[in-house]
Amino acid sequence: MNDNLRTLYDELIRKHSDQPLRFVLPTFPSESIQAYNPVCGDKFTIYISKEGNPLHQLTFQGMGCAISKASASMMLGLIEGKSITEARVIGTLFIRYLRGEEVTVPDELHAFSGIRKFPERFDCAALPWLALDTYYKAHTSK
Amino acid sequence: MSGLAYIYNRPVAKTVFKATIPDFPIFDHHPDLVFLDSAATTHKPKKVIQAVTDFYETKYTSTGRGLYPLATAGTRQFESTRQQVAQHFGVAGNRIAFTKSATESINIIASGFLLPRLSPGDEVIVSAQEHHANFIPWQQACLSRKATLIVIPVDAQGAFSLSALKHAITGRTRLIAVTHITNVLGTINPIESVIELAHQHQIPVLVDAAQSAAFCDSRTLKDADFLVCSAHKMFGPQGLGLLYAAPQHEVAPLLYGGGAIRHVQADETLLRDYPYSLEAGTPDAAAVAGLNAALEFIHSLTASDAIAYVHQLALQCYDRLKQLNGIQIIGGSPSSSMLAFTHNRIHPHDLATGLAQDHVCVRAGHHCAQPLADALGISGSVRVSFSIYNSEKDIDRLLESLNRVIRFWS
Repeated sequence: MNDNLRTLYDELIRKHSDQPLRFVLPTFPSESIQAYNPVCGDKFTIYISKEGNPLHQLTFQGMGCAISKASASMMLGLIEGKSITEARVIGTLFIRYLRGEEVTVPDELHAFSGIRKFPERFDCAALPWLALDTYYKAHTSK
Repeated sequence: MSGLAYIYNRPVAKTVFKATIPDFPIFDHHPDLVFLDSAATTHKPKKVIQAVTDFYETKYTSTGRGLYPLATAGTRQFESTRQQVAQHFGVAGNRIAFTKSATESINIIASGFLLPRLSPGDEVIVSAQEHHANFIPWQQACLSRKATLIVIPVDAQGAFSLSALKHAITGRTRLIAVTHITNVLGTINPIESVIELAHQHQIPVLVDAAQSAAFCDSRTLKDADFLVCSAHKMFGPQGLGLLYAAPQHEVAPLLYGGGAIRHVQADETLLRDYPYSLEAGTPDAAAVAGLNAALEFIHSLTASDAIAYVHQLALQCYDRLKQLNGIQIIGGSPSSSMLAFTHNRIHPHDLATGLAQDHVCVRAGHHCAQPLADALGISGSVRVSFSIYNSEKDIDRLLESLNRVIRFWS
Protein backbone atom coordinates (compact mmCIF):
# COMPACT_ATOMS: atom_id res chain seq x y z
CA MET A 1 0.00 0.00 0.00
CA ASN A 2 2.63 2.48 1.04
CA ASP A 3 4.46 2.44 -2.32
CA ASN A 4 1.30 3.41 -4.13
CA LEU A 5 0.51 6.07 -1.57
CA ARG A 6 4.04 7.44 -1.79
CA THR A 7 3.59 7.70 -5.54
CA LEU A 8 0.42 9.69 -5.09
CA TYR A 9 1.47 11.69 -2.07
CA ASP A 10 4.92 12.80 -3.15
CA GLU A 11 7.06 14.26 -0.38
CA LEU A 12 6.61 17.74 -1.80
CA ILE A 13 2.82 17.34 -1.76
CA ARG A 14 2.92 16.23 1.85
CA LYS A 15 5.16 19.15 2.74
CA HIS A 16 2.84 21.68 1.10
CA SER A 17 -0.28 20.10 2.60
CA ASP A 18 1.22 20.04 6.10
CA GLN A 19 2.56 23.56 5.87
CA PRO A 20 0.92 25.34 2.97
CA LEU A 21 2.54 28.56 1.83
CA ARG A 22 0.58 31.80 1.76
CA PHE A 23 -2.18 30.09 3.75
CA VAL A 24 -3.39 33.28 5.42
CA LEU A 25 -6.10 35.85 4.99
CA PRO A 26 -5.02 38.76 2.81
CA THR A 27 -3.85 42.02 4.36
CA PHE A 28 -4.13 43.81 1.03
CA PRO A 29 -7.08 44.86 -1.14
CA SER A 30 -7.91 41.70 -2.99
CA GLU A 31 -10.15 39.92 -5.42
CA SER A 32 -11.31 36.49 -4.30
CA ILE A 33 -11.60 33.39 -6.43
CA GLN A 34 -13.68 30.47 -5.20
CA ALA A 35 -12.29 27.00 -5.83
CA TYR A 36 -15.00 24.50 -4.96
CA ASN A 37 -15.37 20.80 -5.64
CA PRO A 38 -19.08 19.97 -5.31
CA VAL A 39 -18.39 16.24 -5.26
CA CYS A 40 -16.39 16.25 -2.03
CA GLY A 41 -17.04 19.70 -0.59
CA ASP A 42 -13.43 20.91 -0.74
CA LYS A 43 -13.49 24.67 -0.77
CA PHE A 44 -10.72 27.24 -1.04
CA THR A 45 -10.75 30.98 -1.50
CA ILE A 46 -7.79 32.36 -3.41
CA TYR A 47 -7.03 36.02 -2.82
CA ILE A 48 -5.23 38.01 -5.50
CA SER A 49 -4.16 41.62 -5.19
CA LYS A 50 -6.43 44.03 -6.98
CA GLU A 51 -3.36 45.66 -8.41
CA GLY A 52 -3.68 43.47 -11.41
CA ASN A 53 -1.04 42.31 -13.78
CA PRO A 54 1.53 40.84 -13.16
CA LEU A 55 0.12 38.83 -10.30
CA HIS A 56 1.51 39.54 -6.89
CA GLN A 57 0.40 39.30 -3.28
CA LEU A 58 -1.39 35.97 -3.40
CA THR A 59 -2.85 34.07 -0.45
CA PHE A 60 -5.46 31.39 0.10
CA GLN A 61 -7.69 29.92 2.80
CA GLY A 62 -10.12 27.04 3.07
CA MET A 63 -10.46 23.31 3.56
CA GLY A 64 -9.48 20.44 1.35
CA CYS A 65 -7.55 17.22 0.99
CA ALA A 66 -3.77 16.99 0.94
CA ILE A 67 -3.64 17.10 -2.84
CA SER A 68 -5.93 20.07 -3.41
CA LYS A 69 -4.28 22.03 -0.62
CA ALA A 70 -0.78 21.30 -1.91
CA SER A 71 -1.86 22.15 -5.44
CA ALA A 72 -3.19 25.54 -4.31
CA SER A 73 -0.07 26.22 -2.27
CA MET A 74 2.25 25.40 -5.16
CA MET A 75 0.11 27.27 -7.66
CA LEU A 76 0.37 30.53 -5.80
CA GLY A 77 4.14 30.22 -5.62
CA LEU A 78 4.40 29.44 -9.32
CA ILE A 79 2.19 32.21 -10.63
CA GLU A 80 3.45 34.99 -8.39
CA GLY A 81 5.14 37.59 -10.54
CA LYS A 82 3.71 36.10 -13.72
CA SER A 83 1.22 37.79 -16.02
CA ILE A 84 -2.33 36.45 -16.01
CA THR A 85 -1.73 34.96 -19.45
CA GLU A 86 1.46 33.23 -18.29
CA ALA A 87 -0.34 31.87 -15.22
CA ARG A 88 -3.14 30.45 -17.34
CA VAL A 89 -0.66 28.84 -19.72
CA ILE A 90 1.04 27.06 -16.82
CA GLY A 91 -2.38 25.94 -15.60
CA THR A 92 -3.40 24.62 -19.01
CA LEU A 93 -0.17 22.68 -19.34
CA PHE A 94 -0.56 21.29 -15.83
CA ILE A 95 -4.07 20.04 -16.58
CA ARG A 96 -2.75 18.33 -19.72
CA TYR A 97 0.12 16.88 -17.69
CA LEU A 98 -2.33 15.46 -15.14
CA ARG A 99 -4.23 13.83 -18.00
CA GLY A 100 -1.10 12.01 -19.02
CA GLU A 101 0.09 14.15 -21.94
CA GLU A 102 3.81 14.67 -22.50
CA VAL A 103 4.08 18.39 -21.87
CA THR A 104 6.61 20.52 -20.07
CA VAL A 105 5.58 21.86 -16.68
CA PRO A 106 7.57 23.54 -13.91
CA ASP A 107 9.69 20.95 -12.09
CA GLU A 108 7.84 21.02 -8.81
CA LEU A 109 4.55 20.11 -10.50
CA HIS A 110 6.06 16.71 -11.29
CA ALA A 111 5.20 15.96 -7.66
CA PHE A 112 1.69 15.36 -9.00
CA SER A 113 2.76 12.65 -11.45
CA GLY A 114 1.03 10.06 -9.26
CA ILE A 115 -2.34 11.53 -10.20
CA ARG A 116 -1.94 9.81 -13.56
CA LYS A 117 -2.31 6.50 -11.72
CA PHE A 118 -5.13 7.81 -9.55
CA PRO A 119 -7.49 9.49 -12.03
CA GLU A 120 -10.16 9.69 -9.34
CA ARG A 121 -7.97 12.36 -7.69
CA PHE A 122 -7.60 14.47 -10.85
CA ASP A 123 -10.22 16.95 -9.64
CA CYS A 124 -8.30 17.47 -6.40
CA ALA A 125 -5.07 18.48 -8.14
CA ALA A 126 -6.80 20.50 -10.83
CA LEU A 127 -9.16 22.35 -8.47
CA PRO A 128 -7.27 25.64 -7.86
CA TRP A 129 -5.93 25.83 -11.40
CA LEU A 130 -9.33 25.37 -12.99
CA ALA A 131 -10.83 27.93 -10.61
CA LEU A 132 -8.15 30.45 -11.60
CA ASP A 133 -8.72 29.80 -15.29
CA THR A 134 -12.50 30.00 -14.98
CA TYR A 135 -12.21 33.28 -13.09
CA TYR A 136 -10.01 34.98 -15.67
CA LYS A 137 -11.92 33.51 -18.58
CA ALA A 138 -15.08 35.10 -17.17
CA HIS A 139 -13.37 38.41 -16.48
CA THR A 140 -11.55 38.77 -19.78
CA SER A 141 -14.69 38.00 -21.77
CA LYS A 142 -16.59 40.88 -20.16
CA MET B 1 -38.65 2.49 21.17
CA SER B 2 -40.26 2.55 17.73
CA GLY B 3 -40.73 -0.65 15.72
CA LEU B 4 -37.70 -0.31 13.50
CA ALA B 5 -35.42 0.84 16.30
CA TYR B 6 -36.47 -2.23 18.27
CA ILE B 7 -35.54 -4.52 15.40
CA TYR B 8 -32.17 -2.85 14.99
CA ASN B 9 -31.38 -3.49 18.61
CA ARG B 10 -32.44 -7.13 18.62
CA PRO B 11 -29.65 -9.68 19.09
CA VAL B 12 -28.97 -12.00 16.17
CA ALA B 13 -26.48 -14.77 15.52
CA LYS B 14 -23.26 -13.30 14.22
CA THR B 15 -22.86 -15.82 11.47
CA VAL B 16 -26.42 -15.80 10.23
CA PHE B 17 -25.67 -14.23 6.85
CA LYS B 18 -22.35 -15.78 5.97
CA ALA B 19 -24.18 -18.13 3.64
CA THR B 20 -25.32 -15.23 1.51
CA ILE B 21 -21.82 -14.19 0.44
CA PRO B 22 -21.61 -16.84 -2.32
CA ASP B 23 -24.82 -15.36 -3.71
CA PHE B 24 -22.93 -12.24 -4.79
CA PRO B 25 -20.69 -12.80 -7.83
CA ILE B 26 -18.79 -9.54 -7.33
CA PHE B 27 -16.86 -11.27 -4.53
CA ASP B 28 -15.84 -14.10 -6.88
CA HIS B 29 -14.28 -11.56 -9.21
CA HIS B 30 -12.78 -9.46 -6.40
CA PRO B 31 -11.98 -11.86 -3.56
CA ASP B 32 -10.11 -9.13 -1.67
CA LEU B 33 -12.98 -6.69 -1.86
CA VAL B 34 -14.14 -5.19 1.41
CA PHE B 35 -17.23 -3.32 0.34
CA LEU B 36 -18.34 -0.89 3.01
CA ASP B 37 -20.32 1.45 0.78
CA SER B 38 -23.69 -0.27 0.64
CA ALA B 39 -25.50 2.91 1.63
CA ALA B 40 -24.49 4.17 -1.82
CA THR B 41 -25.52 1.00 -3.60
CA THR B 42 -25.81 -2.67 -2.76
CA HIS B 43 -24.17 -5.43 -4.73
CA LYS B 44 -26.37 -7.75 -6.72
CA PRO B 45 -27.23 -11.35 -5.91
CA LYS B 46 -26.57 -13.82 -8.69
CA LYS B 47 -30.29 -14.40 -9.16
CA VAL B 48 -30.86 -10.70 -9.83
CA ILE B 49 -28.14 -10.64 -12.49
CA GLN B 50 -29.54 -13.84 -13.97
CA ALA B 51 -33.05 -12.40 -14.01
CA VAL B 52 -31.90 -9.39 -16.03
CA THR B 53 -29.98 -11.64 -18.45
CA ASP B 54 -32.88 -14.05 -18.65
CA PHE B 55 -35.24 -11.22 -19.48
CA TYR B 56 -33.14 -10.15 -22.45
CA GLU B 57 -32.50 -13.72 -23.59
CA THR B 58 -35.93 -15.23 -23.23
CA LYS B 59 -38.58 -12.61 -22.47
CA TYR B 60 -37.48 -9.42 -24.17
CA THR B 61 -40.16 -7.50 -25.98
CA SER B 62 -42.09 -4.26 -25.75
CA THR B 63 -43.67 -4.39 -22.34
CA GLY B 64 -47.22 -3.12 -22.10
CA ARG B 65 -47.66 -2.65 -25.82
CA GLY B 66 -47.36 -5.80 -27.97
CA LEU B 67 -50.39 -7.98 -28.70
CA TYR B 68 -48.48 -11.25 -28.96
CA PRO B 69 -47.77 -13.89 -26.34
CA LEU B 70 -44.18 -12.83 -25.68
CA ALA B 71 -45.29 -9.28 -24.93
CA THR B 72 -48.17 -10.52 -22.81
CA ALA B 73 -45.81 -12.62 -20.70
CA GLY B 74 -43.42 -9.69 -20.29
CA THR B 75 -46.24 -7.37 -19.29
CA ARG B 76 -47.53 -9.94 -16.83
CA GLN B 77 -44.17 -10.14 -15.08
CA PHE B 78 -43.87 -6.36 -15.10
CA GLU B 79 -47.27 -5.95 -13.45
CA SER B 80 -46.64 -8.82 -11.10
CA THR B 81 -43.53 -7.03 -9.84
CA ARG B 82 -45.61 -3.94 -9.20
CA GLN B 83 -47.84 -6.04 -6.96
CA GLN B 84 -44.86 -7.53 -5.15
CA VAL B 85 -43.48 -4.06 -4.47
CA ALA B 86 -46.85 -3.06 -3.08
CA GLN B 87 -46.93 -6.12 -0.82
CA HIS B 88 -43.41 -5.35 0.33
CA PHE B 89 -44.53 -1.95 1.53
CA GLY B 90 -47.99 -3.03 2.63
CA VAL B 91 -49.78 -0.69 0.23
CA ALA B 92 -52.17 -1.00 -2.71
CA GLY B 93 -50.64 -2.33 -5.92
CA ASN B 94 -52.25 0.23 -8.18
CA ARG B 95 -50.44 3.01 -6.33
CA ILE B 96 -46.88 1.92 -7.16
CA ALA B 97 -45.24 3.73 -10.08
CA PHE B 98 -41.95 2.76 -11.67
CA THR B 99 -39.60 5.70 -12.19
CA LYS B 100 -35.94 5.93 -13.06
CA SER B 101 -34.74 6.72 -9.51
CA ALA B 102 -35.81 7.84 -6.04
CA THR B 103 -34.66 11.28 -7.14
CA GLU B 104 -37.08 11.26 -10.05
CA SER B 105 -39.85 10.03 -7.75
CA ILE B 106 -39.35 13.03 -5.48
CA ASN B 107 -39.22 15.41 -8.43
CA ILE B 108 -42.51 13.98 -9.68
CA ILE B 109 -44.17 14.76 -6.36
CA ALA B 110 -42.58 18.20 -6.22
CA SER B 111 -43.79 19.15 -9.69
CA GLY B 112 -46.90 17.02 -10.04
CA PHE B 113 -48.38 17.29 -6.56
CA LEU B 114 -46.84 20.16 -4.62
CA LEU B 115 -46.47 22.89 -7.23
CA PRO B 116 -50.15 23.04 -8.23
CA ARG B 117 -50.98 23.45 -4.52
CA LEU B 118 -48.19 25.86 -3.58
CA SER B 119 -48.82 29.60 -3.32
CA PRO B 120 -46.63 32.53 -2.28
CA GLY B 121 -46.17 32.46 1.49
CA ASP B 122 -46.79 28.73 1.79
CA GLU B 123 -44.23 26.53 3.51
CA VAL B 124 -42.60 23.16 2.96
CA ILE B 125 -40.73 21.44 5.78
CA VAL B 126 -37.63 19.27 5.42
CA SER B 127 -34.97 18.29 7.92
CA ALA B 128 -31.32 19.32 7.79
CA GLN B 129 -30.51 15.60 7.48
CA GLU B 130 -31.87 15.22 3.98
CA HIS B 131 -30.04 13.87 0.98
CA HIS B 132 -29.87 16.53 -1.74
CA ALA B 133 -32.48 14.52 -3.66
CA ASN B 134 -34.97 15.19 -0.87
CA PHE B 135 -33.93 18.81 -0.45
CA ILE B 136 -33.31 20.54 -3.76
CA PRO B 137 -36.66 19.68 -5.44
CA TRP B 138 -38.54 21.28 -2.51
CA GLN B 139 -36.16 24.23 -2.40
CA GLN B 140 -36.63 24.89 -6.10
CA ALA B 141 -40.40 24.45 -5.90
CA CYS B 142 -40.51 27.01 -3.08
CA LEU B 143 -38.28 29.43 -4.95
CA SER B 144 -40.47 29.21 -8.03
CA ARG B 145 -43.63 30.01 -6.04
CA LYS B 146 -42.16 32.50 -3.55
CA ALA B 147 -42.89 29.96 -0.84
CA THR B 148 -40.58 29.18 2.08
CA LEU B 149 -38.53 26.08 2.68
CA ILE B 150 -38.35 25.44 6.42
CA VAL B 151 -35.29 23.37 7.37
CA ILE B 152 -35.66 21.72 10.77
CA PRO B 153 -32.34 21.86 12.63
CA VAL B 154 -30.67 18.73 13.95
CA ASP B 155 -29.12 18.35 17.37
CA ALA B 156 -25.37 18.03 17.99
CA GLN B 157 -25.58 14.32 17.17
CA GLY B 158 -27.32 14.99 13.88
CA ALA B 159 -30.61 13.61 15.19
CA PHE B 160 -34.11 14.62 14.09
CA SER B 161 -36.14 16.73 16.50
CA LEU B 162 -39.84 15.98 16.69
CA SER B 163 -40.34 19.04 18.88
CA ALA B 164 -38.65 21.20 16.24
CA LEU B 165 -41.09 19.79 13.72
CA LYS B 166 -44.00 20.60 16.00
CA HIS B 167 -42.81 24.20 16.22
CA ALA B 168 -42.23 24.43 12.48
CA ILE B 169 -45.72 23.36 11.44
CA THR B 170 -48.03 26.26 10.64
CA GLY B 171 -51.28 26.79 8.82
CA ARG B 172 -49.21 27.43 5.68
CA THR B 173 -47.37 24.10 5.73
CA ARG B 174 -48.18 22.29 2.49
CA LEU B 175 -45.90 19.24 2.72
CA ILE B 176 -43.34 17.60 4.99
CA ALA B 177 -40.50 15.61 3.40
CA VAL B 178 -38.37 13.50 5.71
CA THR B 179 -35.97 10.63 5.33
CA HIS B 180 -36.65 7.39 7.19
CA ILE B 181 -33.01 6.45 7.77
CA THR B 182 -30.44 9.15 7.06
CA ASN B 183 -27.81 8.42 4.45
CA VAL B 184 -24.82 9.83 6.36
CA LEU B 185 -25.21 8.77 9.98
CA GLY B 186 -27.84 6.07 9.59
CA THR B 187 -30.07 7.80 12.11
CA ILE B 188 -33.53 6.23 12.31
CA ASN B 189 -36.12 8.96 12.33
CA PRO B 190 -39.39 8.61 14.28
CA ILE B 191 -41.29 8.40 11.03
CA GLU B 192 -44.55 7.08 12.49
CA SER B 193 -44.67 10.04 14.86
CA VAL B 194 -43.84 12.44 12.04
CA ILE B 195 -46.69 11.06 9.94
CA GLU B 196 -49.12 11.09 12.88
CA LEU B 197 -48.25 14.67 13.77
CA ALA B 198 -48.50 15.83 10.16
CA HIS B 199 -51.84 14.12 9.66
CA GLN B 200 -53.23 15.81 12.75
CA HIS B 201 -52.71 19.00 10.74
CA GLN B 202 -53.85 17.46 7.42
CA ILE B 203 -50.37 17.86 5.99
CA PRO B 204 -49.12 15.21 3.54
CA VAL B 205 -45.78 13.52 4.23
CA LEU B 206 -43.22 12.23 1.75
CA VAL B 207 -40.90 9.59 3.20
CA ASP B 208 -37.53 9.03 1.56
CA ALA B 209 -37.09 5.32 2.23
CA ALA B 210 -33.96 4.86 0.11
CA GLN B 211 -31.92 3.55 3.05
CA SER B 212 -34.67 1.53 4.69
CA ALA B 213 -36.63 0.05 1.79
CA ALA B 214 -34.85 -3.30 1.52
CA PHE B 215 -35.67 -4.49 5.00
CA CYS B 216 -38.44 -2.13 5.97
CA ASP B 217 -41.19 -2.82 8.41
CA SER B 218 -44.17 -2.10 6.19
CA ARG B 219 -46.27 -1.15 9.21
CA THR B 220 -43.94 1.78 9.77
CA LEU B 221 -44.39 3.27 6.33
CA LYS B 222 -47.90 2.35 5.23
CA ASP B 223 -49.45 5.61 6.40
CA ALA B 224 -47.06 7.80 4.44
CA ASP B 225 -48.69 9.89 1.73
CA PHE B 226 -45.73 9.40 -0.57
CA LEU B 227 -42.94 6.88 -0.38
CA VAL B 228 -39.85 6.81 -2.58
CA CYS B 229 -36.86 4.51 -2.92
CA SER B 230 -34.51 3.12 -5.52
CA ALA B 231 -34.09 -0.51 -6.59
CA HIS B 232 -30.30 -0.41 -6.61
CA LYS B 233 -30.14 0.13 -2.85
CA MET B 234 -32.25 -3.00 -2.31
CA PHE B 235 -30.13 -5.50 -4.30
CA GLY B 236 -31.89 -4.62 -7.56
CA PRO B 237 -30.65 -2.97 -10.75
CA GLN B 238 -29.67 0.65 -11.17
CA GLY B 239 -31.92 2.97 -13.15
CA LEU B 240 -35.15 2.00 -11.45
CA GLY B 241 -36.96 3.99 -8.80
CA LEU B 242 -40.23 3.41 -6.97
CA LEU B 243 -42.95 5.83 -6.05
CA TYR B 244 -45.97 5.19 -3.88
CA ALA B 245 -48.70 7.82 -3.70
CA ALA B 246 -51.64 7.31 -1.38
CA PRO B 247 -55.00 6.87 -3.18
CA GLN B 248 -56.40 10.21 -2.06
CA HIS B 249 -53.61 12.14 -3.81
CA GLU B 250 -53.63 13.08 -7.48
CA VAL B 251 -50.22 13.40 -9.08
CA ALA B 252 -49.64 15.00 -12.47
CA PRO B 253 -46.93 13.50 -14.70
CA LEU B 254 -43.44 14.87 -15.05
CA LEU B 255 -43.17 13.38 -18.53
CA TYR B 256 -45.75 13.11 -21.28
CA GLY B 257 -45.71 10.57 -24.09
CA GLY B 258 -46.62 7.09 -25.21
CA GLY B 259 -47.77 4.44 -22.79
CA ALA B 260 -49.35 6.97 -20.42
CA ILE B 261 -52.33 7.97 -22.51
CA ARG B 262 -55.88 6.85 -22.98
CA HIS B 263 -56.74 9.05 -25.94
CA VAL B 264 -54.96 11.71 -27.96
CA GLN B 265 -56.40 14.21 -30.36
CA ALA B 266 -55.21 17.54 -31.73
CA ASP B 267 -56.46 19.71 -28.91
CA GLU B 268 -56.33 17.45 -25.88
CA THR B 269 -54.98 14.25 -24.38
CA LEU B 270 -56.72 12.00 -21.92
CA LEU B 271 -54.24 10.30 -19.61
CA ARG B 272 -54.50 6.81 -18.15
CA ASP B 273 -55.02 6.43 -14.44
CA TYR B 274 -52.19 6.55 -11.92
CA PRO B 275 -49.61 4.95 -11.94
CA TYR B 276 -49.57 4.51 -15.74
CA SER B 277 -50.06 8.25 -16.21
CA LEU B 278 -46.57 8.72 -14.76
CA GLU B 279 -44.88 6.05 -16.87
CA ALA B 280 -44.63 7.65 -20.30
CA GLY B 281 -41.98 6.14 -22.55
CA THR B 282 -40.65 2.61 -22.78
CA PRO B 283 -39.96 1.34 -19.26
CA ASP B 284 -36.78 -0.40 -18.16
CA ALA B 285 -38.50 -3.76 -18.03
CA ALA B 286 -35.20 -5.60 -17.58
CA ALA B 287 -34.56 -3.62 -14.41
CA VAL B 288 -38.07 -4.45 -13.22
CA ALA B 289 -37.33 -8.14 -13.86
CA GLY B 290 -34.19 -7.70 -11.76
CA LEU B 291 -36.19 -6.04 -9.01
CA ASN B 292 -38.59 -8.97 -9.06
CA ALA B 293 -35.67 -11.28 -8.29
CA ALA B 294 -34.29 -8.84 -5.72
CA LEU B 295 -37.57 -8.90 -3.84
CA GLU B 296 -37.56 -12.70 -3.89
CA PHE B 297 -34.04 -12.60 -2.50
CA ILE B 298 -35.00 -10.13 0.22
CA HIS B 299 -38.03 -12.16 1.18
CA SER B 300 -35.94 -15.32 1.39
CA LEU B 301 -34.24 -13.69 4.37
CA THR B 302 -35.75 -12.70 7.67
CA ALA B 303 -35.90 -8.92 7.61
CA SER B 304 -35.53 -8.49 11.35
CA ASP B 305 -32.44 -10.72 11.35
CA ALA B 306 -30.94 -8.81 8.45
CA ILE B 307 -31.28 -5.39 10.00
CA ALA B 308 -30.15 -6.62 13.41
CA TYR B 309 -27.11 -8.24 11.78
CA VAL B 310 -25.93 -5.13 9.94
CA HIS B 311 -26.58 -3.07 13.06
CA GLN B 312 -24.34 -5.36 15.07
CA LEU B 313 -21.60 -4.96 12.51
CA ALA B 314 -21.93 -1.19 12.73
CA LEU B 315 -21.79 -1.34 16.53
CA GLN B 316 -18.69 -3.53 16.50
CA CYS B 317 -17.08 -1.17 14.03
CA TYR B 318 -17.97 1.77 16.26
CA ASP B 319 -16.49 0.10 19.34
CA ARG B 320 -13.19 -0.50 17.57
CA LEU B 321 -12.96 2.77 15.68
CA LYS B 322 -13.47 4.89 18.76
CA GLN B 323 -10.32 3.39 20.29
CA LEU B 324 -8.14 4.84 17.54
CA ASN B 325 -6.36 8.09 18.27
CA GLY B 326 -7.54 10.99 16.17
CA ILE B 327 -10.81 9.37 15.07
CA GLN B 328 -14.00 11.20 15.85
CA ILE B 329 -17.22 9.33 15.19
CA ILE B 330 -20.03 11.65 14.22
CA GLY B 331 -23.35 11.21 15.93
CA GLY B 332 -22.19 8.67 18.49
CA SER B 333 -23.21 5.03 18.56
CA PRO B 334 -24.77 3.92 15.26
CA SER B 335 -28.46 3.19 15.22
CA SER B 336 -28.55 1.29 11.93
CA SER B 337 -26.14 -0.11 9.34
CA MET B 338 -23.71 2.77 9.00
CA LEU B 339 -21.53 5.29 10.75
CA ALA B 340 -19.43 8.27 9.74
CA PHE B 341 -16.16 9.54 11.14
CA THR B 342 -13.41 12.08 10.67
CA HIS B 343 -9.74 12.14 11.62
CA ASN B 344 -8.27 15.16 13.30
CA ARG B 345 -5.45 15.53 10.76
CA ILE B 346 -6.24 13.43 7.71
CA HIS B 347 -8.81 14.58 5.19
CA PRO B 348 -11.63 12.09 4.42
CA HIS B 349 -10.54 11.76 0.78
CA ASP B 350 -6.98 10.98 1.78
CA LEU B 351 -8.26 8.37 4.22
CA ALA B 352 -10.49 6.82 1.56
CA THR B 353 -7.68 6.74 -1.00
CA GLY B 354 -5.45 5.00 1.51
CA LEU B 355 -8.11 2.44 2.37
CA ALA B 356 -8.73 1.79 -1.31
CA GLN B 357 -5.13 0.59 -1.64
CA ASP B 358 -6.16 -2.30 0.59
CA HIS B 359 -9.38 -2.86 -1.41
CA VAL B 360 -11.45 -1.36 1.37
CA CYS B 361 -14.23 0.68 -0.22
CA VAL B 362 -15.77 3.49 1.82
CA ARG B 363 -17.44 6.73 0.87
CA ALA B 364 -15.75 10.07 1.59
CA GLY B 365 -17.13 13.56 1.22
CA HIS B 366 -20.39 15.20 2.17
CA HIS B 367 -22.44 12.25 0.90
CA CYS B 368 -24.89 14.47 -1.01
CA ALA B 369 -26.01 16.00 2.27
CA GLN B 370 -24.31 19.38 2.52
CA PRO B 371 -26.92 20.92 4.82
CA LEU B 372 -26.15 18.18 7.36
CA ALA B 373 -22.40 18.66 7.01
CA ASP B 374 -22.91 22.39 7.55
CA ALA B 375 -25.11 21.74 10.59
CA LEU B 376 -22.45 19.46 12.07
CA GLY B 377 -19.67 21.92 11.24
CA ILE B 378 -17.69 19.52 9.07
CA SER B 379 -16.70 19.70 5.40
CA GLY B 380 -16.96 15.96 4.96
CA SER B 381 -16.53 12.57 6.57
CA VAL B 382 -15.75 8.94 5.88
CA ARG B 383 -18.86 6.78 5.84
CA VAL B 384 -18.74 3.05 6.53
CA SER B 385 -21.93 1.21 5.66
CA PHE B 386 -22.68 -2.48 5.98
CA SER B 387 -24.90 -4.97 4.22
CA ILE B 388 -25.66 -8.62 4.69
CA TYR B 389 -22.61 -9.72 2.68
CA ASN B 390 -20.27 -8.11 5.20
CA SER B 391 -18.78 -9.85 8.20
CA GLU B 392 -16.53 -9.15 11.18
CA LYS B 393 -13.56 -9.91 8.93
CA ASP B 394 -14.39 -6.80 6.96
CA ILE B 395 -14.14 -4.76 10.14
CA ASP B 396 -10.75 -6.37 10.83
CA ARG B 397 -9.59 -5.40 7.36
CA LEU B 398 -10.92 -1.87 7.74
CA LEU B 399 -9.09 -1.38 11.03
CA GLU B 400 -5.83 -2.90 9.77
CA SER B 401 -5.92 -0.66 6.73
CA LEU B 402 -6.93 2.40 8.68
CA ASN B 403 -4.00 1.91 11.05
CA ARG B 404 -1.66 1.69 8.06
CA VAL B 405 -3.08 4.89 6.54
CA ILE B 406 -2.77 6.76 9.83
CA ARG B 407 0.83 5.57 10.18
CA PHE B 408 1.55 6.73 6.64
CA TRP B 409 0.40 10.23 7.49
CA SER B 410 2.12 10.44 10.87
